[in-house]
Amino acid sequence: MKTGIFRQKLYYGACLLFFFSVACAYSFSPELKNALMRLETSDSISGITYKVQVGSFKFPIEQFVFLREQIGDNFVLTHGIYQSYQEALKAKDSLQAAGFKDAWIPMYLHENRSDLSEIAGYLSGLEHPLHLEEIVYSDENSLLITNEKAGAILSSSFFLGEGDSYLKKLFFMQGEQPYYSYFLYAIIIFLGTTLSLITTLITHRNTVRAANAKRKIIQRKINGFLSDLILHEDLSEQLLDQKLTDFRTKIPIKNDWCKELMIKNIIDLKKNFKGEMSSLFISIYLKMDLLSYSKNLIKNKVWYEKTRGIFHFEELGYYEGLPLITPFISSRNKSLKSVALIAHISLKKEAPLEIFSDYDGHIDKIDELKILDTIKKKKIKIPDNIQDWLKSSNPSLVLLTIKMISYFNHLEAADALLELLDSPNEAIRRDVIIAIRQLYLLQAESKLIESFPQENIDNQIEIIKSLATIGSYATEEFLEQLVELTDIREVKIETMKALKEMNSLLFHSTFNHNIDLQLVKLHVEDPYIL
Amino acid sequence: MIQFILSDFIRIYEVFIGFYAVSYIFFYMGLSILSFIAIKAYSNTKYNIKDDILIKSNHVVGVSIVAPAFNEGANIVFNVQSLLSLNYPKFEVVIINDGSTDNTLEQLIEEFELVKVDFYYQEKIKTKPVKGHYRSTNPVYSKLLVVDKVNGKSKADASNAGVNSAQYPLFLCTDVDCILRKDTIVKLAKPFMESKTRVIATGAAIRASNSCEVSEGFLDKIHYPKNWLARFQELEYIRAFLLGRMAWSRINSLLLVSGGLGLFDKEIAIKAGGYWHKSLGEDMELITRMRKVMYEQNEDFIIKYIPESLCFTEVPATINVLVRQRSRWGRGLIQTLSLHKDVFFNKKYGRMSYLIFPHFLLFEFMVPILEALGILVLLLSIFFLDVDYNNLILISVFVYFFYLSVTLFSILWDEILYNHYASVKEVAILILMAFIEPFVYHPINIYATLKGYYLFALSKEQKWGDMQRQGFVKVAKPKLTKA
Repeated sequence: MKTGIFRQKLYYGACLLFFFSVACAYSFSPELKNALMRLETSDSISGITYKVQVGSFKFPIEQFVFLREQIGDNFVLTHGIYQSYQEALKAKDSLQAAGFKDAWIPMYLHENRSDLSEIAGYLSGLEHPLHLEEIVYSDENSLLITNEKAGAILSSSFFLGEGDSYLKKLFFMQGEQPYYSYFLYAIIIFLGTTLSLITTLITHRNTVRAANAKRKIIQRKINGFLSDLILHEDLSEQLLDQKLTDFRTKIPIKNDWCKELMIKNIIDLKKNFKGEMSSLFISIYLKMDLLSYSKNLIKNKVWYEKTRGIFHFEELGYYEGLPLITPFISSRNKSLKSVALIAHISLKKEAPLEIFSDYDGHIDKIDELKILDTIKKKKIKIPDNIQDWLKSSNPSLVLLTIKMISYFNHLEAADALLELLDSPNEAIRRDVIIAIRQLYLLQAESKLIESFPQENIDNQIEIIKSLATIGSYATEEFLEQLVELTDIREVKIETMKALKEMNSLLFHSTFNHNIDLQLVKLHVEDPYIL
Repeated sequence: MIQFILSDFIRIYEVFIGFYAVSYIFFYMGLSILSFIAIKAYSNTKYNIKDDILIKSNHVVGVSIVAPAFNEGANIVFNVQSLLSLNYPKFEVVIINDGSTDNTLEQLIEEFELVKVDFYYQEKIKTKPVKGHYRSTNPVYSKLLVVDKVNGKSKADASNAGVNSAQYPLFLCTDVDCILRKDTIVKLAKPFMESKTRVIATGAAIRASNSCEVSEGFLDKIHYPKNWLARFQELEYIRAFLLGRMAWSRINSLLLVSGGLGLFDKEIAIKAGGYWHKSLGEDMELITRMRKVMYEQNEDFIIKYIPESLCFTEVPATINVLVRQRSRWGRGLIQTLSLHKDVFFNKKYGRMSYLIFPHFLLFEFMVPILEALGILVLLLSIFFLDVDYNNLILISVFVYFFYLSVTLFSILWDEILYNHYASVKEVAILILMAFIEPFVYHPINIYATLKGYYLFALSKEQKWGDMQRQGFVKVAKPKLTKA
């Protein structure tokens, strides 16, 4: 089911599989590695020699410094013949320091180039394979390996088939280049991740399909049950209890997804019904113990789970839930704060807008829309001290207040509103200009004309619109001058529209002196252009 | 001697590629993590804002949809109907007929009852001449404006004419054949209204519509494409949009808002000079210039990406068309980088100078070249030097599984978020595509991009993409018959 918890389980499942694959990569035995270490710590072993290889080419190389040797199709250059691995190692380091960065140590068995598995086979075939000293590791988990054990390990582990010896070497960092092993580990990790992801993908798809099918069945049951309740003419408290008890046995109400589905259906129905029917939905919500589910969501540590619970209360109009929501209005999390604020306004019965008296949070444009929508839906009354908010140092609150004043048609705030035409904030000035035409504040005319040149284009356009609504002869005169002077398309069109609206004499002229204005006039007069 | 020189060269190349590959892998792993965080943060806010409040409000910001059309007669009517039916309280649809030689304009006039109007047009961004504007006499289509202009040989020129004619402060740029989800404008406009910092552009994911069921311009059912090339592109889109762009958006470093779907601040776009008509990657180029304008104005800004598939478009279904498209993208990339080379490490341009542009140069532009060079080096090594085949196989297998992990992770993420696909079979096919993509599809892409670089070097003239539309799977409407 596509719920938060299900998703979380999926994430955990994928993570577990991933870590399992990582663990697999590191869980191989270190025994072979120990055996090789013994080989490397011996002074000399009969039949085994080492050289230092400095290059390998497809063609023979003419030079006199290094020994030449042909290995398969390749011509290689080597240096020295060493009985002890340590001696060879020193020579290799010197050569690398001298600039032969690729120098490495190949092994020879009876003077033939051999790989580790061949040499291991040779060693294990000796009657007394090695006179190995006991190796004691110095770390805390020290491992004591006796001669017998070492011999056993060598004889059991180095007798490998051609096919698997290479991989074994890689696992225990015995590759010809040590970083091979790291790549192998990385491959195993990513292969494990790949397989885990494929399994999760297929499982997820199947689970979603099954869950959707189940959800459809439950949805049909819920539809039937709620329709039955709505259409029932004499639904007593007792009958409702009985029906709810029966219904609880028919759906998996213990599951969160089912509770969520039930709440969603109740919310959807509640939006379309009012009065008594509305209280029936709250009864169902309470009697089915969905309240504790919503409460648990609000108490959840994760903020977005809280928003789900708050959303339930808000949409259901569960006023008693308000004390649980109010503390989140001062939350640092912007989203949670916003959801709690809207729910608070929606659920508080007495003076819900009072919350803004000391509100210092940012109210964005969408919050504004939500708050205005809630005010409209809940028929909230105008607060007594709304004018004080216009003086707030929180610009977003001032913007909201201007819109509320317009909505409430609160003409008493006109003077305070007009003072804001001098605000340094462009957005505040714009909203005031819009409010002026909505409230029909005739006294603002001269101030708007005066401030026009200082405003940006958007505000200028709003001023023209407002002047068209409230303007007098002075506006007409101003607009007649403006239409001749401005070069900005939008300003020209808006000015011409305003002149048309005010039935200006100029609008009825032919503009013979100015073709551009003729075109603007045609634009404004066209019945199909909005 | 030659062998020694060759050996030295390959040695240096090896070291460079080693560092390059490691930084590339870590960089993209970092992007994946950022992307994960960004998508999670987005999905967490779903109870915060309900779209219905925006849809019924009069106070939302107005949006003009700008959709250029060139010889789109086959589907234009359905496509415009689809655009007109979007859910948003304040929007208009501006269709630009870019000198179509078919009956695109005639169909629009007839179907939407258009008449030529006395539109007062001002060329804020220079374009080829506009012949006229058309409006509908039917109030049902009052939101439609058709701009008829002389062909400018580029989508950019047509889009600019649309921007010049648009009436709202935001414009949504799309292709006329794109099918937009009904809530597209709401989703894209939301960041413009909720952010304290100025938002100058938003974008969202685009998906292949090749096998989707469409009836009269409306998307009925989403299916995984049946065409092989389209399947690969679907995979590529999922990965790029979910893992790449979301991460860039998270760190406010997005440079690419797709030409198929992007909402822009008109004022800033005009200040930036609009789309550049000679550009081959006009979307990226516009964002670059818009960013420059904001840095020069010293004003904070945001470019945001929405992790939702809002736009469905028909992707190339033949190799020729695909190569042409990718070649154009390649040319667009190199053109933008060279045109704005002043951005590199110029602290005036903030993170664009030290992060975004260097990334595009090092990882986007260089990769196809290095891949081609890699094949050359491999061939030289096989013929002239001793190749360590064990090493080669190990590294190749490692890279392959790393790629698979990243790709499958993006598919899983997509599945968990959107559940787009209809069945296990479709998911299984998508997984299969991921397995074979590096061997089948990727080489075509590399070839096309390198061809683009080559053509850029030759300064070949660009043209409007002429893609043969395959058409959608049309859903037959049930007919009522008398019993």
